[in-house]
Amino acid sequence: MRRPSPDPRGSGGPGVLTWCCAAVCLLVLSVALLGPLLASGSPTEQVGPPLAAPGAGHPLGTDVLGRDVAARVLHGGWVVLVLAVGATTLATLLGAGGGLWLGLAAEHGGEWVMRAVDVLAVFPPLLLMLLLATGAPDSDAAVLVAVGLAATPFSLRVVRAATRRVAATGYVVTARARGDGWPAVVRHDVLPNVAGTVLADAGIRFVAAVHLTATAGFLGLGRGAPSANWGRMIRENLPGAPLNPLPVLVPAALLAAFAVAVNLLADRLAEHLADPDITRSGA
Amino acid sequence: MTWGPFLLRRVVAFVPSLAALSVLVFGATELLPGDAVSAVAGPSATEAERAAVRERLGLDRDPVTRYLEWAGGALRGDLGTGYTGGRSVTELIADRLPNSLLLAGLALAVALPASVALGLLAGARAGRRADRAVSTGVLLVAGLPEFVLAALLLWLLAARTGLLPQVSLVPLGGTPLDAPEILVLPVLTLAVSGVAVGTRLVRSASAEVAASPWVEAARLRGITGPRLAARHVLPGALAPAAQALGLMTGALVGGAVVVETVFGYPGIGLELQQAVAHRDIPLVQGIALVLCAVTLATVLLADVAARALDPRRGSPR
Amino acid sequence: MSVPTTATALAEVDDLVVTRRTDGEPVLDGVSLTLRAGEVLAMVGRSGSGKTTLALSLLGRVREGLTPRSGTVRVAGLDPFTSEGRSRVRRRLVGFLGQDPASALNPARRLGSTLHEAAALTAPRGRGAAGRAERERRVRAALTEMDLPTDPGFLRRYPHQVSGGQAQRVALAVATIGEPRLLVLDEPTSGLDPSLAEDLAARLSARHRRAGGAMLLVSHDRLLTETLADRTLGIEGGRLGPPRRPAPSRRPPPRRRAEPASSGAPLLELAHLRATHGRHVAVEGVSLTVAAGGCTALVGPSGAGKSTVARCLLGLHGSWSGELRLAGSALPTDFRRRTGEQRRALQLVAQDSVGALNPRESVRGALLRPLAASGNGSEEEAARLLERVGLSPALLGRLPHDLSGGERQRVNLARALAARPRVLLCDEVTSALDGETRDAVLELLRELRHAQGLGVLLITHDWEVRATADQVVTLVDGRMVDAEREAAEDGASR
Repeated sequence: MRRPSPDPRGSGGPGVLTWCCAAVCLLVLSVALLGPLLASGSPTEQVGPPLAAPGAGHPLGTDVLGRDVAARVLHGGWVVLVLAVGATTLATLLGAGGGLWLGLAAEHGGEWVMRAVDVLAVFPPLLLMLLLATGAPDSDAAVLVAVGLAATPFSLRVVRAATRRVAATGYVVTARARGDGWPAVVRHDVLPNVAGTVLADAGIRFVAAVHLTATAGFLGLGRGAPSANWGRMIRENLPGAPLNPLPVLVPAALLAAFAVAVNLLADRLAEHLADPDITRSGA
Repeated sequence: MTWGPFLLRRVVAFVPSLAALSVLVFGATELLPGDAVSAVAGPSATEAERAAVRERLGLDRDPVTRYLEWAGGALRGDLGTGYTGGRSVTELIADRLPNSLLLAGLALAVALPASVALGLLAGARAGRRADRAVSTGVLLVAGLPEFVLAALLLWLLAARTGLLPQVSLVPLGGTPLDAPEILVLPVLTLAVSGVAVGTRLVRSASAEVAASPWVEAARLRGITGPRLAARHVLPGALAPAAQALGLMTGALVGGAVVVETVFGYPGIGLELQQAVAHRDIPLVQGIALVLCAVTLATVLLADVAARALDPRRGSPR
Repeated sequence: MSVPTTATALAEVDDLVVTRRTDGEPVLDGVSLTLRAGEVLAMVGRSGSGKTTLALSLLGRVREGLTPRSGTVRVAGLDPFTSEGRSRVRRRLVGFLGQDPASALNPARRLGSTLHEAAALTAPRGRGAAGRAERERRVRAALTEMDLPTDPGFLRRYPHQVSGGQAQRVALAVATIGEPRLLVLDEPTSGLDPSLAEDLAARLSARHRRAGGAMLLVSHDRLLTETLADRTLGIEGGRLGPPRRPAPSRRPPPRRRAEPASSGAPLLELAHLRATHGRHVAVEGVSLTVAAGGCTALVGPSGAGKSTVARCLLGLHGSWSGELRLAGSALPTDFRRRTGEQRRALQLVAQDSVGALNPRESVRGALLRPLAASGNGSEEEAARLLERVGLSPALLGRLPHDLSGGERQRVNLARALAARPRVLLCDEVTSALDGETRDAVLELLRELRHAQGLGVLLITHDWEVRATADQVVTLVDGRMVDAEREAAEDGASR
């Protein structure tokens, strides 16, 4: 019939693609976070004619205002990433806390909270960001809060659903009937079984947060004009792309590589975390 | 439940949802520290000038009264006057919204069939080679922020090769349909990111159905290939996919704003982005309210579609 | 039909080996089998013995994660593992009915379209009016045979719009519409309500009497195998053998009424239970008692409110009224107002399929938590408990997914015992187990009752399990049914 060799593609370790994504993530992360230390020139100083081609001293040329593209690339990444990490943390904390509470304790009031959450989830995230940016202009904190709040309803729904699933299982019912208090049940039964969901969800929220914070830069939200930001670099230099495409292409490539790699990693993480529950089956 | 009460309940639920969102829209722009006065009066204005501006804009009254006035006006179709240019917000929206709806409609017309086809192809044979190719491809595209995708397409198709216009200039007094070539890039960008989202939803719904006992029974009756996918998997997968798509509307509206900004397409999203940049608060509020209503309506439509596609809910026992 | 075949052998499996992709472990380890035309062969074995894999191999199907390694399968001379053979075998020669037959109907398609499609697949290709007339004739004949309505209105319905029994019969009609020469049945009655299971068994045997045709029956339903099968084979660890000790019979095991039932008041008394879900009255007027060392069975179809009664007894159901007494003293209806001792006295042993054990907690952790609460959280005590339920203390470090179904159910019992209960509420504890494991778990419960005077309330829809009980309470739609008659019969049979 078929070849007798056991199939190597089974549920083995992480594949080549996963390792590549991890490498890309690390590379972009180090450019973004170590960049400000490595950059020699100033990101805001005009050093030459606008949109000059790459040359001595300016390996990536200059941007639309004659600033050094290399320096701006090295300085412009950390805002995007730090804001995304902060927003993800905010959303995960709010979502996990609220989701656990709604999933376990709240029985009557919980329904109303969920209605409100459902309405909030409809609110377009970008719109929330634009509104908060109107209310609090030039503020990175507003971007962080907006991105975090936009992700919270989804996080909360996922965690609540997982919590309710666990709360309905035989082991939780048994423990409650035996007289174990909520703290013990949460520690032994709920948290270990929900943690994977929370982690997988945080991965998905991080992908969305990277999108939104980068988009915020592109739309000119957050801290003001001269400071470097990969998203804003793309916007500023798009009209000059025919002359020197590098100020658009380099940040776009970095953002694209990071976003794609993180997306793939988050997907693999979610799959991996979901796996043990699915594959547990009788023959 | 039959259709009548279902629709009635949904439409009735629409009103408090929109009211709640309008409070959010008003609150976010009014109560936060960003002061419209300095935006209008300029940074060098004296205290007296600022006070005059504040009074002219009615900002010296308490926020609850102003919200009620604004919401009352909105009910009558009057969203106030923009700070810059002094134009009626309602007129501006009426002018620009059709352009945006055209863009979104065209993108959907491309993205929906493509999503269903790709998602079904992948989901009906979950875990096989076709699925892995489609799923990985979709993950790659879905990973790209819309503006990066737009910038790359712009650079490739417009800036480098000059095949298409870089900026969506609409002839004066005309509609985008008078110059269809300007629609290509915005529609393409929106459609590609929409396909990435839609394919994932259809795929996961199809994969679930493909693993069901009834599809297994169909396989064991000797039904294979396209017939299995179209007649046995698809009917059960469309309803959950439609519902999930409704929940993604918010993200897609955001995508539209970004795409309009990148291409300078004269829609409501570009107007919103410029209003935020100028801190034209009545305009921001008006557009945000309209976008909320559009989003809620889309979610409602998706729910109705999901119900119509699911025989278990649509028909009486 | 026109398919050439040797005189008697309809299906032949020769030295078939099927292995798991991941570790190469064989699921079928050199199985050879011959099925004659018209013969009904029953196959019995525990879960995991490879019986389903063998049954599906006749249709050229291996489940995800398995791969056929060597050996041959022939059905009427065709190899179902080649693509032409597979299509021919599945469409014309072999019909299949799996667990919960009604689930084979696509809920998003009308009954008529499923039936017509099945008829079109099996009928000789006829495109025109003649073909259609032939298909309609077949559909009508199949429906009539199953005592189903043939009017267009019925065919336009979706599966959820007909009764469970009708849906099951439509599924059987779909599987047999092409008069397959072999019908493969994989646990068709397991998990079904007794009435549905009986109906299915009756229809299968009626069909066999009328049309003949071979069957391969995988089941541990003794009623089904005894009425249908010409011969029975056992399968274990992927190898065929003679059936393990033929199952005793459906007679209830001899009742040992050793305990002096005269000890006065029963251990647990429940009277006039009324429980609501919102405005809906879920259970009303239920009274039952459990004697020390006794076993009361609470039986009834699924959805009758059995589990609600258990939740009420435990004090977990939010809104219920009634009198509950434990050893003569009243128990509060809400578990939060019960003392620690009262809570420990009533212990739930939940169904395995609803996650009775925390998948991320070791056996040790699961046992030590209740042990610590009752004041003796030592490892030796946990080991002793495991021994008492017939398990090795070496299992202490295992996680639930490393245990077999029977082991999990025993750990589940041990955990309940750790709280030193006086009454155990066993909710469908045997429903996910195969026949032998079920008997062993029931035997263990019997031992515990006799050794410790433990009262047991056995919630089940399995009519065989209730044979171990000395009192039976039947619930239908939240009401008690014929309790007196059951009791009278019970008394008479003593």
